[in-house]
Order: sequence, then structure tokens, then C-alpha cells
Amino acid sequence: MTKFKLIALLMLFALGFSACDNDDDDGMQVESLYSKLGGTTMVEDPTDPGNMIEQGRLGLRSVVDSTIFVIAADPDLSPFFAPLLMELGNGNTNNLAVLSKNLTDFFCVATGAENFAYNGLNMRDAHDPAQNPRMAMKSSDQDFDNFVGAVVTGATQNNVPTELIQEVGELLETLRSDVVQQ
Amino acid sequence: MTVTNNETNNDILMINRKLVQIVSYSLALGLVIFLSFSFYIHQKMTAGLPPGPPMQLSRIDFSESVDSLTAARIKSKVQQMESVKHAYFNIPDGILVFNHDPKVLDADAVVTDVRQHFRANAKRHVVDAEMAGRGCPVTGNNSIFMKVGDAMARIF
Ligand code: HEM
Repeated sequence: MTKFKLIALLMLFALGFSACDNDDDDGMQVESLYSKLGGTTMVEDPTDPGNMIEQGRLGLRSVVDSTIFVIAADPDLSPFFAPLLMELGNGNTNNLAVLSKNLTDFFCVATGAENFAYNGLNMRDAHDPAQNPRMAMKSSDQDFDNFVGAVVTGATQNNVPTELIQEVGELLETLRSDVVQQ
Repeated sequence: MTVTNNETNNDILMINRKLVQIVSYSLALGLVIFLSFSFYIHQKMTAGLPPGPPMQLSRIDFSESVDSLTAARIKSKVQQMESVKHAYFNIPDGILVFNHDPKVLDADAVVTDVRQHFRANAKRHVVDAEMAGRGCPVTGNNSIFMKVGDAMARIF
């Protein structure tokens, strides 16, 4: 009888704890920006028919690719990307593909994606011309604002909802001190 | 005496032959390393390229201000041209950027077309090597490694 009571008590405790656990999780779970952008739902990749891609990644990649056009058409930002733009002007898209992938990976990881990793330079080194010869010169606060503006334009072109663009903007803002080195 | 001379000559011949052998082997080994390195750099730099033909990004600058309606018409016309996938018009600065397959559509021809159609004062903007700096001596597209790797990729 005592044994039975003890087991029943333990089971009750276990139940109580697991119930508490679940409650806590539900209360704490915050949807990541990546999920809000489409998350891990698999969709067909429009640039690679027959292959699937996570919807969140596709959204971010589209924003990145559109942003590159906005940068190329910006007289203040484009000089920073001169090596890349010269290659693109000659029809060589190798480094564009690398940058597009690195930027997309970076955005995926920063917004909370779990199935991707960023293997590029850290933000300080990537934006230090001494460490990254593809960064033509150091950028200022104004250049940073212009860059964020270009990302916002790229996101708007891809119909990203305003409140999510706002969140992306806030995320980028946290990197200002690493990127701005002037 | 003659024997010694002959021996010396033989020795020199032997050494020469050995030297030629060493030099040839070193050269062959060097060539293999160089080709492998070029191939590796090329593979690494071209990995994960988007499928389809290589696209060129071209920029047209307008010297007079372009109103939003004309900008939309110019953009739409360029976007309808063969092989153009995407175009963006920065209206305040009068800059149009578009990508296209250079084998199908020549960027200068687009400029001429736009100038004639819209009576616009437009010219092509090309980033030259001076603006771009020297680029990376290893992974840059004009580097010897990328050129050799490119040639090898075409062969294999
Ligand atoms: C929060 C804002 C920014 C983020 C998240 C960001 C992110 C990145 C990433 C991930 C890379 C690739 C690094 C690599 O390949 O290892 C990169 C490269 C680069 N970034 Fe930024 N960046 C930001 C702001 C800026 C600004 C303000 C400028 C200049 C005005 C700039 C100019 C460049 C250039 C020139 C490169 C090298 C491009 C190339 O490979 O040709 N970035 N950035």
C-alpha cells in the first residue's frame, strides 16, 4: 500500500512538472523572424526548377538579390562594391553568387534559421578593407544608413510586410558598430 | 691518363643527365601543382553559381532628370528585351540597372535604343579597373589561376 502511494505520488509530481514545463514553453515561445518570413516550409525554387527551397530562405535570397541591384544603382553605395560591379559589368557573376550566398546565409542565421550556417568573414573583418580587399574603403554612419535603405527597398520590391521590414531594420541596426569603421 | 679523362667525361655526362632529369621532374611537378591549384581555385570560385547563362549587370546613367512615368516606361521596355531578367530604376539619381545575357543582348545596343526611343540623354556607366582597384591576385577573374582554371574547365 505504502509502495503504491509512493509511486502514485511520484507520478503526480512528474505530471505536474511536465505540465508546468509545457505551460512555460508555450508562454516563452517567440516566433522567429525567419518563421514569419516563411520559415522551413518547402517551396519550389523559381530560379532552379525541380528543386525545393525553404520559403524563409527564398524570401531572404530574393531580398538580397534585389538589394544588389539597388546598390548598383546607388551612386553613393556602388563605389564600395567597385570590384564586384566591374566583374558584373564584364559578365562575370562568380563573386556575385558567392556574395549572394554569404549574405543570404548571414540573414538566414541572423533571423533564426536552423538549417543553414554562415561561413563568411565576421562583420568587423568583412567591412575592414585591410582584412577584406573587396571592401573598397571604410564605411561611415551615413553609408550604413544608405545600406539599410537599400535593403528596405529590396524588401519592399519583394512585398515583405512593413512590420517585418521594421524587424529586419532593427536587426541590422545591432551590427552598426561592427560595420561602421570610420 | 686517357682512362681518367674518359671517367671524368662519363662522370660529367652522368651528372648532366641527372641534372636534366631533376630539372624536368621539378618542372613537371611544378606544372601539375600549378594546374591543380588553378583548377581548385576555379572550382571553388565557380561553385554554387546560379543555373543558366552567365548574366551581365549593366548600368545606364541619365544626365537629365527622368520623371517617374518615363522611368517606368524605360524600365518596362528594357525589361521586355530578350534575356533581361531584372531591372531597377533609381529615379532620383537617374540610374537604370539591368541584367542580361551579353551573348544575346549588347549593353551598348540597349543604350542606343533607349536614347532613340525616349530622346533621353543616356550613357553607359562602366566600372573600370582603376575604380575597382587591383582585385584579388588569386581569386580575381584576371588572375592567372582563374584564367588557367577557366581554360581547364572548358576542356574537361
Ligand atoms: C548591417 C549591415 C550589413 C550587413 C549585414 C552586411 C553583410 C555582409 C556580408 C555577409 C558580406 C560577405 C562577407 C564575406 O563574403 O565573407 C559583406 C560583404 C561586403 N559588404 Fe557588407 N554588410 C552590411 C553593411 C555594409 C555597408 C554599410 C557597406 C558599405 C557601404 C558594405 C559593403 C560591403 C562590401 C563592399 C562587401 C564585399 C563585397 C564583395 O565580396 O565583393 N556592407 N557584407
